[in-house]
Amino acid sequence: MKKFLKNNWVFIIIFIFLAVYVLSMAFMISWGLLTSVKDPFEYSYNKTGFPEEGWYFSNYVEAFKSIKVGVYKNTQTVRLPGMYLNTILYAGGCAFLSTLVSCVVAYMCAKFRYALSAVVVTVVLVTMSLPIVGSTPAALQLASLLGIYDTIWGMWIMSAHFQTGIHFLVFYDVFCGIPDAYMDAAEIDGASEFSVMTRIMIPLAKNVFATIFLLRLIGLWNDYQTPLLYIPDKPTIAYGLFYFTKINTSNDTFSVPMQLTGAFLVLLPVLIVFCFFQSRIMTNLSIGGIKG
Amino acid sequence: METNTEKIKPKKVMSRSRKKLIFYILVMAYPIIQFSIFYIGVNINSILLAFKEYDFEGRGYSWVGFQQFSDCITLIKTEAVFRYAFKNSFITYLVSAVVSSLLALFFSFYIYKKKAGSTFFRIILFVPSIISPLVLAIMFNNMAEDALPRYALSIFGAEIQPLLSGKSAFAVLNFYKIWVGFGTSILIYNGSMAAIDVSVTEAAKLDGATGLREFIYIIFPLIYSTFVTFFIVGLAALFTEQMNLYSFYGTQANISLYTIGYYLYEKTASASITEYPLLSAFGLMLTLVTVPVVFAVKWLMRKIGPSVN
Amino acid sequence: MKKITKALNLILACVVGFGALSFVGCGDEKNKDIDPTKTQLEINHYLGGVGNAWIYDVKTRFEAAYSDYQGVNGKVGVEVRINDQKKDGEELFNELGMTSDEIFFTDKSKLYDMVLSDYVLDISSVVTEQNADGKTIESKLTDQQKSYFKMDGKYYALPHYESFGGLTYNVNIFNEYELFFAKGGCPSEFCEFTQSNNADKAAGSFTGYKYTGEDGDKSAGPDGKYGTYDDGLPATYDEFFVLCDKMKSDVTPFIWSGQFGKAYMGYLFSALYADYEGSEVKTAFDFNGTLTHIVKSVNGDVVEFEPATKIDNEKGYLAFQSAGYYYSLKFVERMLSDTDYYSANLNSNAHTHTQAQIDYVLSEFDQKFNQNGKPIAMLVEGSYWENEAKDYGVFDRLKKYGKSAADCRYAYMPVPKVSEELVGTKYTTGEGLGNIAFISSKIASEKVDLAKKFLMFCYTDESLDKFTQISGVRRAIKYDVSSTDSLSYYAKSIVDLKKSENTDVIYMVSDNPLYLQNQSYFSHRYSSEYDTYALVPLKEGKTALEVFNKICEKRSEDAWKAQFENYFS
Repeated sequence: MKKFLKNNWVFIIIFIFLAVYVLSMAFMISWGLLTSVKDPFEYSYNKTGFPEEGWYFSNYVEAFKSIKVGVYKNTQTVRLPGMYLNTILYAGGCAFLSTLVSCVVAYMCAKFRYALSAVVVTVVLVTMSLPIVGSTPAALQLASLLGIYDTIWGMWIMSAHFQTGIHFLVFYDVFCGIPDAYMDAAEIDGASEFSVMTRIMIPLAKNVFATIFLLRLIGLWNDYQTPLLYIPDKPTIAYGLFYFTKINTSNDTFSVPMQLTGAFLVLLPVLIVFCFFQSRIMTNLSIGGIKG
Repeated sequence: METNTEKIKPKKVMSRSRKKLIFYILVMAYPIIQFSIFYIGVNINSILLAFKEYDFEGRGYSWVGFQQFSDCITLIKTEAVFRYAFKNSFITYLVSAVVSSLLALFFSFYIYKKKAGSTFFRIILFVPSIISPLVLAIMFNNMAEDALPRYALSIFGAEIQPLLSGKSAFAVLNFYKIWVGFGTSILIYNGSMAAIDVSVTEAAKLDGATGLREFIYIIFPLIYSTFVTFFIVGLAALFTEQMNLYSFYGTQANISLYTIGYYLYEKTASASITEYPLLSAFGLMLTLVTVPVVFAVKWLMRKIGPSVN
Repeated sequence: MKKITKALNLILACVVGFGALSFVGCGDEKNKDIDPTKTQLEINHYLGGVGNAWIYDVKTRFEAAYSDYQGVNGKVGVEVRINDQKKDGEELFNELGMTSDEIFFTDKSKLYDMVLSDYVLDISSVVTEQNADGKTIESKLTDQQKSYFKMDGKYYALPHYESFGGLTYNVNIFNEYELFFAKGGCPSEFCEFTQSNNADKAAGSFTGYKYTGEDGDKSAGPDGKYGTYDDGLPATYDEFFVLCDKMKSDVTPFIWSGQFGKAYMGYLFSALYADYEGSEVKTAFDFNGTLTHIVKSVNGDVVEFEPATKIDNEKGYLAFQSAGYYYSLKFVERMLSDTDYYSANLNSNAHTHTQAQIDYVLSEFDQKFNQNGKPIAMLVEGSYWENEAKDYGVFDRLKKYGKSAADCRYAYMPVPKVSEELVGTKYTTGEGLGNIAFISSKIASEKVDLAKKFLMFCYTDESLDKFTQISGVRRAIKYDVSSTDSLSYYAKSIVDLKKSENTDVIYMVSDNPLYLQNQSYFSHRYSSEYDTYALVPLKEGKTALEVFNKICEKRSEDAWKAQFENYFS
């Protein structure tokens, strides 16, 4: 026992911290779930107890019907399934392309030591810290001019950039850590630069790629501001939820129980997918793909 | 008589370095063009505004050199909000860099060592990342303001003020930022640790390095570059960090809670086009301060950090 | 488990595949349902406090009136398409350079920026030409509105709905608990103005506060006249807080939003300030006139004034030293001085404006909605709040208590006067003119004429009347409401307020370039070293005088000169 404590005291302390964290998160989510099945008006005076006016599981039905956005000047309505589709296309496509471009550019900067490479790395750092003021009208007008405004493929083009901050830097670090010997050996064997990049170097970073892609996907999945501005007629889940919680003024949907109902409704499919895929997602993720 | 061998002229073979250069240009062409159009093209006017002021006669912007920067300095000296904003930005960064990083590192280490419940903890730590930030803020706001004070009163008989309204607001906001922000860092740190050669850790174990010693002498040095990356990224975002103020207070946070990032965001949302030059100059000034500091800190951390060897 | 995962993988791939396919050959969705035989007019309507029933009524009538309109390419008739959305003027500004919407009804607009950016069409002909009702729209504007909406000699926008902030009181609660002052039951009944202005004078002198229900003989109120809309209401600050002391054991006097209270209290500050300053409010924004209430010193309750001072751009900072600021801060300081004056609900940052409306309306019938366990008498809000609450379904909830919206009676309470000397003076309320209607400059040239006709149509007497009948809110323009029968009690009280000869509306705007070109400076007039919003330091225990001094300090002569020297003549 003494030896166990001596070897594991730090893990015991960490366990306590983690347990407290889990309890606090569980408490908040439980409270959220309990609140979501209250009468929308009851929440005004009953913020902590069990529902007194009955269990309003019908809130979920109401939320499912109410999470909708009028598009094309309210001539059409997009509901949850449509929003999910838009989100998969928007977040999936943008996440993939931005990860791909970041990865490729990071590789080029790490392995091709031209002056431009140093400039690009500096640009990434600068753009992370530079707040831009008042460029939204210009950005929207450019999108409109190029014919990509209000299109998901247009968002893909706009997202395929390398100014992804920490994600670029992680790729950059990874590729800097891969010995040049890999490239040299492949070139000696007659591989072209393209083959070296696509068949050797990037596959070595595939776990990192998957991690960054997942992180980008999550960020874009939850982003409502960009779709609100650039693809107003293709509402995503985040935009729909924002609309539902902040903007929609019909009947009871303004209330906290209904807002939480909408949130959990939107979260549920994501959680189900996450539960099924989490072992695959999280086990294989790693930064730095070189072993042995 | 000419032989076939004499007739065959040797092909001109492109040099390797030239091939590399062509390949480089071809691959970098799209990202650079995309950056030029969608970043420089869109934002260049906003950046150049820092050197202009609005001319009401000509209905446009005219060059005034560094006048806006001088006005910024005056603004910083005279506006009370900056007394709080700079301080809060630094404190938020330090809390994040120290407390949040330490916790993330230790939690990742625990998961990496596959200790009791590590799979479960890994999932729970990640859950806030997949819940919409809007919704997290709604839940936390209502809990902190209404539910927790009532629970405290009914269970413990203690009267506590709503947590986001009084003197505790700043501390609670920092707590919130740490509390919901583990997902990304855990994922990346855990991944870095997973990439460590097993033989290294086994050798260390044989030498009696377990627990904290293993973390300090083996694990941390090997993932140090990842740690530096997070540290630097946080520093780069020092003056753009909003501390979730908009989620909780909209544009009406008390000035004692302001960060520089929130100030800029709140001002830009309501500013007239005539005020953009001043705000642009302010942003540029902050960047000119931040970027050299980031490079310097990056250099320093790599220089003084633990050696992989 | 593997099979389930595989199945999910397959489903996901199909979904993405079909989704991607759906992008192929997708047509012009925006114009899918339009009628190609008619000319379309695209309206962008901010779905705010006025609801949207009014604009759909306009659509029906305009389409009928212009069913023979000859458009280009042989089109006959008009189709009005309405884009109801929730982006206010500030958010909409980003899109104005590329919008396909043509006519806008919005709020919180940045009109000056829009004009500078060439986003708005010159609508001078709309304003100055004779309309279908035989009048020009210009004749319905006040002089102040004319000078504000005119830039470079051209009109670019028209006022949309009117909203001013202040206090709403619950008539049922005032009646049930007898919270109206009785005739002769408060000191103002015996003040000089009330005495001299009423043939039916209150006899004798003040012997003590007396109260009555709504059917009793009520005091004259702030306007000093009997038989008007404000009878029985407190006429002075002192009377107001005596009333609060009387009611607090049975009724909680106020509620406002905990989360947005700073902004809503800003409305109340403006209302108190405007009523005290009266016509000098205009001078405080256009820096062209004389100010008579500049504070020289404050000693306890005694405020000493500087002599009347002529104001110009250089002396503009003195406008912030007006006693209107000080007295409005004093009023709110007193509101916060007793925790029994306000509902404990508003101590929470999660307490939204919607929640405040719910608590206010429903606490009358169910005291659980107020943590203090009592009904709530007054609400601090904008004058559009009732329409907003209706949209949220607050009044539908009354069915639970066997009541309906018809059983609720709210009324706008004119803010009381600082002291008896001011009883009977004009009731001045302030408005920001942020809610406007305009035509986008991006409109196709062949549609300009039709768009102008539409805008003129919205401002005929008939349309203005219908606007109020349907929305319960007034347009910020001069017109008569034909009948108040269909209006709620609250909407009627606003109509009565505007109709009263004693009421003046002053717009807190100006056409002075110093104001126009620095509007954000003037948007937070109560900001100080303590905070952007005066409510914050007051709630933290600072006195009204301390906050007032900091407001003045922030706008000292030197600071004003450093900021605005370019505008000095």
